[in-house]
Amino acid sequence: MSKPTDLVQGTVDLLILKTVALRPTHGWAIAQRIRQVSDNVLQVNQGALYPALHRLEHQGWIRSEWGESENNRRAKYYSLTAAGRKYLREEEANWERLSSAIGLVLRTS
Amino acid sequence: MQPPVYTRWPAKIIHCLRSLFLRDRLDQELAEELRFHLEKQMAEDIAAGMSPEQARASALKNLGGVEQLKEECRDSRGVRFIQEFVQDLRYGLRLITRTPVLSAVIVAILAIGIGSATAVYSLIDACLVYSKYPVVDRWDVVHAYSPRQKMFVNYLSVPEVLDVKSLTDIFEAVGAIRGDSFNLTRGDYPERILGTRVSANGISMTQVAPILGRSFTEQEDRPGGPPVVVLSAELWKRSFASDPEILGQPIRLDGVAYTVIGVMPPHFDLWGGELWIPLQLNPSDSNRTDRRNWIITVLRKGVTEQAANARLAVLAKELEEQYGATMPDYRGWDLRVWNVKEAVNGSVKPALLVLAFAVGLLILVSCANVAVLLLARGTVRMREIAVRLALGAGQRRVLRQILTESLVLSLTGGILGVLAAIACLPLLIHLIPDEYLDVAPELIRINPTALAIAAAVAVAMGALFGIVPAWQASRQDLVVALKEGSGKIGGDRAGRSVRDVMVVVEIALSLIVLAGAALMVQSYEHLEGIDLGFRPDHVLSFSISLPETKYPRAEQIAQFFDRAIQSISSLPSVESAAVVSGRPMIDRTEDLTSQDFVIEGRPEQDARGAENANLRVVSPGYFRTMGIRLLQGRSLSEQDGRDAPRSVVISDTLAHLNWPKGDAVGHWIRMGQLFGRRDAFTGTATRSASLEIVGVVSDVKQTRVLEAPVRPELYLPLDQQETAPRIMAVVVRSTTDPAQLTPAVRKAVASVDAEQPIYDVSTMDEVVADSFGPKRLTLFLLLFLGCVALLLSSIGLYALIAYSVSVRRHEIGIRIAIGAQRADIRRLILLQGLKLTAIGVLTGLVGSLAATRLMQSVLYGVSPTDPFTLLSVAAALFGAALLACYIPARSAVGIEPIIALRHE
Repeated sequence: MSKPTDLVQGTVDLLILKTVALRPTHGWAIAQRIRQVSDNVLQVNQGALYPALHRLEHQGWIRSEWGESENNRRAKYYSLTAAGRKYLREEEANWERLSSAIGLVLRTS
Repeated sequence: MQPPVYTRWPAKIIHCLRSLFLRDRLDQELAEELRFHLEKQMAEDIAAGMSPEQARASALKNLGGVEQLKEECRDSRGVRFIQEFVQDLRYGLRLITRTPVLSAVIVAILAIGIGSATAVYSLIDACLVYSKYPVVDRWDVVHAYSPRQKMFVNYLSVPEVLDVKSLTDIFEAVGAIRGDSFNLTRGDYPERILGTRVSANGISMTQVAPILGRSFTEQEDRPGGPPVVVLSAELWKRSFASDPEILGQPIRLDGVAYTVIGVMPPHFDLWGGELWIPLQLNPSDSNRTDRRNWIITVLRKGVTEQAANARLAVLAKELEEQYGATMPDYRGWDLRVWNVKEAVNGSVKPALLVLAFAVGLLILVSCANVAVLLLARGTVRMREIAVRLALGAGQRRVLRQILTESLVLSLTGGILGVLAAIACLPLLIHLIPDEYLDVAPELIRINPTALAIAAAVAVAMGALFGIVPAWQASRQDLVVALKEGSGKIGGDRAGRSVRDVMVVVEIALSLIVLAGAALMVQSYEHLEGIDLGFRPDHVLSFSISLPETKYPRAEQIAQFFDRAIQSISSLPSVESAAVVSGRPMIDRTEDLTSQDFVIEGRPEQDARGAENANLRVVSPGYFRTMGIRLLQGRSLSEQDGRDAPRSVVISDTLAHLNWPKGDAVGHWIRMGQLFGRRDAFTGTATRSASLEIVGVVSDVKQTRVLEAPVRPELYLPLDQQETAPRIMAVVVRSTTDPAQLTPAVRKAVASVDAEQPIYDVSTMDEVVADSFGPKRLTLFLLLFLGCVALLLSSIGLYALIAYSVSVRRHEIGIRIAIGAQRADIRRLILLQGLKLTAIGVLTGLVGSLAATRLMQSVLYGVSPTDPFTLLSVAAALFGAALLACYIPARSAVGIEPIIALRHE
């Protein structure tokens, strides 16, 4: 994983994992939620969302099942797997370290 | 930050399996998921005040291309590669069957190229690279260059063997070896068996262990050692029914009981022969002129041939200084190592290398050909590819698909090629005379390396020529490509020039192969018309070897043969019969016996080497029986008896060398030293008597290498020899088929001495045919390769021109519509092809001037740059090219402008 899109992709992955960590969520809701929680600052490109979800599922971090949506429509709900939970914790820690390090650099120089 | 992997593997595997086998369901689910998303988004936007249409457009826009998105999602499943490979494979096969002719041609070309390459490579490998013995690279013969004889002599004396043996710094082991033959007596009929006398280390040098018993010990290799024998597996099987109790049993060779101590594995070969007995050299033997042993050595590890030769040169110099004054044969002497493999294969090597070269060219021709076809095919599909790209196929996906297709083609070709090779190899082996193969034919198999190389060539070709058009296609400007449609020629300039270059290369290479084949044909014709110096028709010949125990004296030998000749001559249908100490072209007398002589009344001129000649001892009827022409003087006759003045007949070459004015007859010569093997001769004699040259006969070809220059020869009457050869050949001229004489002749010889078997029976016609064998093989294979190359390049040219006509239909239609004559169109198309042919032929001519030089050593009577040959080959190629272009040109002329223009 050394492509220049790493950061962006990794970030999207982290946001998705964090979002589905609370409760099983479907794709559209994940995008909405990320936007709302970040006060409209972070906007996940919908074109990138679904491939990311499928990839994460393939990697075994999240699982999907079909459920009923709010208006009784069939929707695909994503939730975190045990491995995914662990992965998310590690990634959160990494992110913390990275952002505080960047913060430090910005403050001192 | 590698996450723990163990917990998620089961999930991943299930996911993979689901992706592979529930593909349709997953696709449905994906579609549903995206539909749900769109609906959600639209609902939201409508709630925010958009019209349904606006909402739909906005939602779609936000999401991006739905189909592309689906592709990306499928991509992320990770098993795509497998799925698509299967898909590509299926698609590829379907396309292949849709264009059956083109596909069949590509596969056939590959099969021919790979098949012939694999078969010939296996053969060459078996002949040249295959080594039966672990030490073969360090296994050498030591032979001596004799300036008097102007050749290398392989037979050396016992003191010389010991001299070489003392060089322990370069040789790990030094042994000696000598071919011999024995009468093996079992029951009533003696059988002549070829055997080899070998020093104790001779067998162990090969590092091949006996399958039964052991090989010789040093004790058995001493003079007076016990008579022991090691049998070949073949003799053991044939004569002793593979008797497991054979060890310790006695067998009778030349009347002496030898104890069997071992049996070697099948195909074990040590200087030929079917049994081995200890050489038992006498270390106190100081006779340096009695040369009858080959020296075999194993070089120490790390000692190069150059180093060994340098050390041997020092030894040769020392010997010259020590003995040169008294022994003229040491003057200017040199010793060299000669690798055994080289020694065995040397004669076939040039021909095999020429073949290998031709096969290599053929492979290149088929590569170029397949390239042309695949490139053309790829170009035709430009539009199709453009459509697929426009419909959302990924660029890499398209590349991979085309690659898979061409790999399917090339692998099919490769597999068929290997099958063709397997079918071809026994045929090839069958065509080669046994004695030119170093290995038993059943040991030659399709070489795994050759197979791997063939497969690699197939895959590489498929990949290379598949990827180029695919890459071109995937990079094209979609809008332009779709607008232009398939009939475009201008936009394909790069592809076109690649194809043109390929066709030119193909024609050039074919010309080289054809030129090689044509030169071989000419060379062969020259050889067939060569003057052998004798008439081989209606002549039967065989050998008789008289044992020293029963025939110790020359008179007894002469008497035996006199009576045998009389007995044979009295047979019906026998015209005449005679004996000779070595038949031309079959018995290798020239390196066995050569004779120094001095011309009476002239100073010795040993530097010229003119006074050294092959020696053949003959009975008076020899020249008549063999049909050797008498040029001057008289032939030998009954009057040249034991008490008459000594006479000699010389060959034309010898006469010309010493009596350029043609007055050889009547001069006297005196015999000097006899070179080479003496064990073939019985007794010793002082050869001081003067001999009168009574006649000159035509030169006779001496070896199977027909183009080799002949050495001068001396013919001495058997009756006048104090030392007569024990091994003699009998030649019989008959009025009927000589081969059918064999039983009668056998009986006639038995009536003189029933204990003496005749062996090595063949007609002289067979001997001559055998010597043409390898030439004929090379010729046949080269001609075959040449024809295939011609065919392939014609197909290539045809395919290219036909393709260009098909893409230029539109243009041609317009030309005809605005008034171009049909003849103009035909000329246009023909010129396109012939221009390429001309460039190819010119390139090929230049190339063949360089390449055919390689053939110098296998050609006879024709120069490798023979202008007539090269020009006729060029003409033949032009003819084929004209035909190849004419067919598409005719179809171009037949284009109906209306149809062609509507076609777009």
